[in-house]
Amino acid sequence: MEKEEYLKAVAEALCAGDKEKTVELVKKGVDEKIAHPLEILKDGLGVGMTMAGDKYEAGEYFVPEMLMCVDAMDAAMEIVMPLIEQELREKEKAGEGAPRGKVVIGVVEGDIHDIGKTIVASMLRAAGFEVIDLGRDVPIDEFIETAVREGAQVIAASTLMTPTLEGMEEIEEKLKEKGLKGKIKTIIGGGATSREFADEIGADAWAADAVEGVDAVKRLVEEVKMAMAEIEKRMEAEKKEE
Amino acid sequence: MAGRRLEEYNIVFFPSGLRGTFEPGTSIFEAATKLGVDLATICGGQGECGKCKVIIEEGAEALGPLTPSEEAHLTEEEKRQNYRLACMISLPEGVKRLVIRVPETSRLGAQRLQTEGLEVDVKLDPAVRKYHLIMKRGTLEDDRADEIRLLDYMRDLYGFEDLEIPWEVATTLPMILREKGGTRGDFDVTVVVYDDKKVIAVEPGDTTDRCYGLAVDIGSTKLAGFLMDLNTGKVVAVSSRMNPQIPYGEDVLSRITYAKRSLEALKTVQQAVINGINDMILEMCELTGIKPEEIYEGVFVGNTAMQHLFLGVWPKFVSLAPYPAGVKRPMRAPADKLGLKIHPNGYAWFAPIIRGFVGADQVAAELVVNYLEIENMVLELDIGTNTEITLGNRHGAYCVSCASGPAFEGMMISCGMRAANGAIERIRIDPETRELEYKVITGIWARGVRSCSKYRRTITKPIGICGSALCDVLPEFVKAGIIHTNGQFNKELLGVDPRMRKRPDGQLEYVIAWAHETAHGKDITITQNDIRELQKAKAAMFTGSYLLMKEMGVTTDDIDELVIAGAFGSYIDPASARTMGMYPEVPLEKIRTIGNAAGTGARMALISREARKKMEKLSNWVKFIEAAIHPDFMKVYPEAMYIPNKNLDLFPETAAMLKELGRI
Repeated sequence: MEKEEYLKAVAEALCAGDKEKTVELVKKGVDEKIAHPLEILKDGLGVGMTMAGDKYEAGEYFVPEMLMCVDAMDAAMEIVMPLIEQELREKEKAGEGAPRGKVVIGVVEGDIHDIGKTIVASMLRAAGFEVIDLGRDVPIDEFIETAVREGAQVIAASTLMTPTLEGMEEIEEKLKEKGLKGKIKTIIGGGATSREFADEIGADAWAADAVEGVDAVKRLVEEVKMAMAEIEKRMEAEKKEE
Repeated sequence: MAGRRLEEYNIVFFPSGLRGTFEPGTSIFEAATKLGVDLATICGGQGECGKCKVIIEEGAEALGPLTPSEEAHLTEEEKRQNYRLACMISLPEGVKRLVIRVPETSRLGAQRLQTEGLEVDVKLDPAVRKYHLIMKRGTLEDDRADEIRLLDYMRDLYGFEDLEIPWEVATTLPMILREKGGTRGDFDVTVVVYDDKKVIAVEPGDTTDRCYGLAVDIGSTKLAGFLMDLNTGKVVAVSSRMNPQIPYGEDVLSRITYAKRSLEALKTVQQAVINGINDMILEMCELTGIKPEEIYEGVFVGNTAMQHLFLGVWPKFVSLAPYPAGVKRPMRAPADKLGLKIHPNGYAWFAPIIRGFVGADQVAAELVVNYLEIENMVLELDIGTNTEITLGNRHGAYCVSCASGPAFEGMMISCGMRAANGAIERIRIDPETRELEYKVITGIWARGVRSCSKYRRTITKPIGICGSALCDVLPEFVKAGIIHTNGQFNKELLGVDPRMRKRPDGQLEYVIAWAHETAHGKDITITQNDIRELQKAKAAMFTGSYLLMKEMGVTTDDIDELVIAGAFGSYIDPASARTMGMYPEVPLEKIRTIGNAAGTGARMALISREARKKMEKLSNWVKFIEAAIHPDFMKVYPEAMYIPNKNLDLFPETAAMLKELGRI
């Protein structure tokens, strides 16, 4: 099987939410070395997830279809990630290629509804991000501590219920307190949230759905990286002056 | 669940919560009519009858001066409180939004509020009983204290051993004993005893034939009150109105979000509902000639949020996972401390709850179904923003709560509205020809004394779509091939069926009523997003039922009866609900509705202490499962979004019908 044709098949199987076929194809690709695991992730699975996202936007797919894709994605990731983790880390250390963006995601404390969060996490992984999924009912401090410890650029918080909205506000306040605002950017989503609410509490982004969310996270990661580069440059300049 | 934010609209009406965006210059009366706001009028908006008084809560300063008609109809006090006549004012240029309260006196109560429930059939045994005594007055030989004399007579005549006479009764006792019969005659009094333990009042003369109680269903949307004669167990008056807490949040969660800001905020929300109940008491008393002091007890039923907000229990934590309630057992509170306008020594009794999201209303439904005693396997659903479901029989029962959302109440739906005049309540589509028919609610009129409905212009044209018709949307659309079984609009109908079209935002939509048929001159449609909201809601409900069935090892065939409680359940077409897969596919003849079970349960508890004991038992005996974290949730819920379900083995009859129609 040609590589191009193979990657297209992977993408289509994933987009169709066909877990069995996706896993079979990914195994085959790895075993027979049809494509590099990194290519399988990016140009196969990643493309498939984008295709599914497009269908969602067009009203063709809804939650059940997206969840099937997520399921297939998760199974495929279990095969390819161990193979590329090492390589990615080495590359990053050597300063080769752009380092992946890191996102800490979870449902805020007091809420246990996590379907939306799960879809977003999977789509972020498919888009090439390193995702640390803290699950549901996540204490506010855990979001921030994890993001600091892991050097994540973005905290993504979700809630379906109105009473838990204040947890999102708390994230913003704590980031400000700790002087982390801007170094770690925030995005919120979920049934109870809205653009107005995001603006009100000073979140850096809000997304109506997973597709918008992935685009927004891409933008936020770039913004943080640029800001950090700016800071580094300034510090170096200061050093030189000294 | 947050719904659309109020800021997006420039006119908002409370307490209905109806809102819309209007052009400057639009008459407020006209806006109210278009939105279906319940607003009284006799003259039809000519500034003549003065019935459409409203209070401007926000934006009053932007309105022009009072018109001569308003000067004439409004009292000085009303003018100070920003009252206006809706028909005399219009939306000013440049105002962000007008918030308008329609006071109770300007409403017809025309929203369809279900207060009826089943006839109550229980043995009469209320907590409050009256006992008539004629006692010999004291002599030098018999100088017992009044209090002791009363207790002795109560023991000798009625067998009470340990009655308590509290301070508030004791203080006036010497006067009351001597009121009938004079200082030289016998003491002629009636003793009011609460729960065989405590004297809550002593009244001069024989008042045993006047002993009343109040049963109230505190719904998050509406209140339903019943005044009952505790001697006969009969309902003597009924009253209902919108829950006055609605301005503090449309759904229970946003209401808690408001209340948990401070103790004062909680007090405000609590006071709102108590004022509403007091209004109903006064109305029913006025109607029947019964005095509020002749009502000695109020029994209250409502969901856990309503329980907290009524009793004034700090509600913050019950709204956060794992949703621990502050109070679970039956709670008795002194009426005067609550501010409840019944006898000052009377009590409010709130029924027990099960969990944070399974409240006393569900316990009431379980009481009505009689889970403790029945052999039949019964699945009972109370459909609403939060849907509570119980499955079982006397050998054991489980319950579950699912966040189904307000879609079937018309919220989050582009043309959705509550069940009021002008709402489309039924939709039928010919599966072959797609010929569409709908039925509009007209002529719901209040029974209240203030009604002036015979003068009111009737709205016969549709304004929007209410829950019972939304319940028809998924099944009718699937049968007619307008949507696929996964909820996606059938694109092939674009350009074929004129009702199917693309909106400016790219979404597909289907026209239910054309502009020329409607009251506001705009098309009434169902959009792809509307379909999705309905799918999510019905999937949550099915998932709840199915998880209970799995937990108990019960199949659809094992279900002897499917019982639907709640107002909404009484108006939907059970066949539609079943075809869309809202609940398991049981034969239609096994489905029955029990109306407002919360109200029925409250009435039962008011007149029967046995019923109260049963409620307390049920609240501990019925086991609870948390749907959202159930291991099978992630499989069952997405499958249930399909119509009727992805797993067609669960819906053989519907599957066969759809196959025959060529839809699957």
